[in-house]
Amino acid sequence: MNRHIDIDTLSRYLLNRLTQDEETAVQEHLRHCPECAGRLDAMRKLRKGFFEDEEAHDRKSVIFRIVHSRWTKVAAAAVIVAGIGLFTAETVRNRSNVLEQNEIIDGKQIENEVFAVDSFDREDSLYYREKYGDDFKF
Amino acid sequence: MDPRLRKDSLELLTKESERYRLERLGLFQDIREEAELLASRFPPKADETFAQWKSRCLREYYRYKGFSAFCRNNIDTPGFEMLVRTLINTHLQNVFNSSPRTETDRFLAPDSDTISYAMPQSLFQELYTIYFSAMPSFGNTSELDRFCGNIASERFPVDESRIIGSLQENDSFYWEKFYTKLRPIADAFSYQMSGLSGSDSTHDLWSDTCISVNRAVVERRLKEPVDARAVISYSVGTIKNKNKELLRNRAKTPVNVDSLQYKLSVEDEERYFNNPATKPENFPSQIPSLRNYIDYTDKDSIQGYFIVILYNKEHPLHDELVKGYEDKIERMFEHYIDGLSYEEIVARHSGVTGDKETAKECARLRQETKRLKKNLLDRFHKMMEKYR
Repeated sequence: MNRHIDIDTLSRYLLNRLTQDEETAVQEHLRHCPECAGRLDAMRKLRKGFFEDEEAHDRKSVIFRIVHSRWTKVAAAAVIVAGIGLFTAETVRNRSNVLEQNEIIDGKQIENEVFAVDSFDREDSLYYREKYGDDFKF
Repeated sequence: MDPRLRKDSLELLTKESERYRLERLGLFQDIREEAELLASRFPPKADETFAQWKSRCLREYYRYKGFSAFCRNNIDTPGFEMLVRTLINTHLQNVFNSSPRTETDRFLAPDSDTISYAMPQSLFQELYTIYFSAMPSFGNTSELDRFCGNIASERFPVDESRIIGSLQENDSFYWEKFYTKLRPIADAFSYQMSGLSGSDSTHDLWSDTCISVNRAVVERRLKEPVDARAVISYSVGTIKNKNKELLRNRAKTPVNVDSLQYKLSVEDEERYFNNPATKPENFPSQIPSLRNYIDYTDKDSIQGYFIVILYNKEHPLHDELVKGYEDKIERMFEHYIDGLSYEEIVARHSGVTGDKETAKECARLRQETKRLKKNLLDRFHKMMEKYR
């Protein structure tokens, strides 16, 4: 292939818009044509400069700073100590909770009693209002 | 090792990585090391052509890297899902370009776009569950690509009834495309009937039409069975109605609104859809859509196309993108493409001497480049919306 690849085909190669056969033909041409390879390389470099370099740089610098910070090490130690403390305290508290729960009177019974008091009040109120009118204050 | 073989291997793997996002998905870390490995382990045989070598070496390379297991392990990751979606969309674009226009597209899709060969997220999720939950095995990227190609050819075009159902469910993906379709039609009718020209003056009429068609379809007010032709007929009827109302208001003479035709007759179709003057693509407001080139759901596709427009001076949108920044872009190219440092660029262009002055100039150039990148990207995003 003596002619150069037109910029449109080269662009479609960069954008993965060519078929497998077309792609192979372009690759075969690129092996022998430094000019086309250079244009493709330029587009790739531009893309890298625009979208990859800074993201990678930012990502690296932030991660690097976080990982290598003295505060990170102090914070990690504090989290471990707090975790151990919390675990121990929770274990002790759970033990006492279990003991307390065993001594509680049946919860359902208490709930029924409360409901009975509530409904009595409401029904009573309706009865007296019907009998003596809406002005009746219960 | 032959440097040419090293270069060929690097190009093969770079393209594979660009197309299938191998580096990002984590199949390998360093592409140069992998190219070395590929070249040393799978060099071309004496009687092999380039195409034969490419096919064999990639097949063997992927087997060596355990590509099949890699796919199985990544099948639930968003990155892999996105790759599959992009591959299917690329095949869909090819199928769309090589297929006759469907009736549904003719009536519901913008002229350069498609509804029948488009894949909204909900449909993709459905297909991904059907085809990928059975853990298919892919020995290499070509097999994965073929598999996605088969999905595109088996499942598309989407049935008209399904599209109508989605419109009735108020699926914004399809409605947006249909609204775009209505725009030039509203322009053409308004120009012919009321003498209105330009998108600004027809904007209200178009948006009112969009709302009323949407309501009619979503609230199931069209006569069953609803099809694409019924939807466009109703829309054209609404546009006509609104134009007549406009005329009536203007002329202050009553027009019999009941006599309006709500069905698109064969004559109407010939008149408004096959007439060169009123064909939507020939109407002045119609601009070629970027949808044919950019997958709007894919960040890689957007970034890639931006670079193509920026680099290719012959591209129809290049001038619009770089207008006012031509000189600055030249310097940015020197930095990114030629690999010159800011100091070297300053020395080449401004001839500033003295350490302090050079440092100041370099800082200014660095800031300028950063700002330029932001401005160009902002402008490109506006252009994408404009030519969507």
